Amino acid sequence: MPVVDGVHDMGGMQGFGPATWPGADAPFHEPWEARILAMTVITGFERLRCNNGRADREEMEPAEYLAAGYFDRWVYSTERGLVENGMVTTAEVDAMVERLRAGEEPARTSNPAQVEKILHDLTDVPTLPPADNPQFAVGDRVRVRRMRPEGHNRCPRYVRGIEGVVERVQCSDTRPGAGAEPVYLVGFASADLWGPDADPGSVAMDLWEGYLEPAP
Amino acid sequence: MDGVHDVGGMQGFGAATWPGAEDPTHADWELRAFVLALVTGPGSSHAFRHTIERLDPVRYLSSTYYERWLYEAEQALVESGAITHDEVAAWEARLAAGEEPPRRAEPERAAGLVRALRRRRPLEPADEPRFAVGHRVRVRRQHPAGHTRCPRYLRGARGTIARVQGLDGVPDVDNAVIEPVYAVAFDSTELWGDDVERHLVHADLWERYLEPDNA
Repeated sequence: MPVVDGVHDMGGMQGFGPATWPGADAPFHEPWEARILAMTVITGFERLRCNNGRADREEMEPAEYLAAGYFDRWVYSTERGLVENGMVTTAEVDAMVERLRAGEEPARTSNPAQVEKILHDLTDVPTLPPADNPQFAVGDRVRVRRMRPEGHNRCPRYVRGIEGVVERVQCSDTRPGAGAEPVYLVGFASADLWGPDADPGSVAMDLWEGYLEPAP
Repeated sequence: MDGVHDVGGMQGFGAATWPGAEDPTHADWELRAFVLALVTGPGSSHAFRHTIERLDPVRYLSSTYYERWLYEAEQALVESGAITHDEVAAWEARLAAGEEPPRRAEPERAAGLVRALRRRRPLEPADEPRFAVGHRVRVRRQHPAGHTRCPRYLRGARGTIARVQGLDGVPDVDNAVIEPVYAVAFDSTELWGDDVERHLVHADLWERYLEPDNA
């Protein structure tokens, strides 16, 4: 059974320390992080792996997931995708790690044309099409469905069962495990999420139409 | 505090049970940790649990049940000033170097502890409970910063009072503050949507976690 509502779904939880700190907004904190970003992007664009990295990262062992840094998790999902696609074996990865540990220089390749193509593809992102026949309009009251999804989903546990208001009809996009659907920006009052003692405020998030129902 | 300990309704933590899982302990030190936590304990199960809940999340998930008890005992002893972390570290080094742990025998104290453990104290009956069996209730939305025994996955859900359990100390406040506790039955579809198998989930909930379901 796939891990769906796992430890990665931390919205609304406490006890994980500060969410930000001085220097936290730097894109990378170690040189290897930039390399794993490049490796993830290249192996994805070149179809060397075809896994959904986010879905795979959610299946990491929970304590390992929490202990890992952001890019540590990318290492996990990229390696897993390459192994599943038959590009490398775990034994090869382990052997290479041993060789590097023994002081061997990492193998380098240089392919400027590939770099240029990928940088172009990264910036040339097609905009998502407008929502087709949306069921809800701006101002509609909606409720997030109670659910037990069977696969990877992007509906946080902490908004399920909560009523909110459609603030914007964003676009059409592919819902994980389903087809193309309208996506809405939905606003929630903090009191509806966390009770009357919560600091006043609101939370807005993008949710697919399949996650919503009309407010009763 | 809605920390990582509140795993109700979550997935991905492996099997909840396995052959042998029902054994009370799995290693000798676990019994000693149990006794240590009991002998030194704060006297309040709520304070005990809250200390464990404040463990670093990674350490919490990596620890076994009695490793958390041991952590609690050490933490409580350090907080009360009975020992320091340095002393614990020094002892770890001495034991690692082969020194025998000091032993003491206090048969009377041990017998008293066993008696206390065996003493069953049923909850006082609730005189004027706000809700009666069959009442429809809704679990309040809340986000407490301190200890609570209201699981996140029940908040906002509607259920039915299945039993009035009696009066018990409120975890969120203090054991001295008592109020009615109810067994509340929730339909699985209310918790996880219409596609799940129909069954009931029962949870014991304090009166302040509940409000009448007027919907």
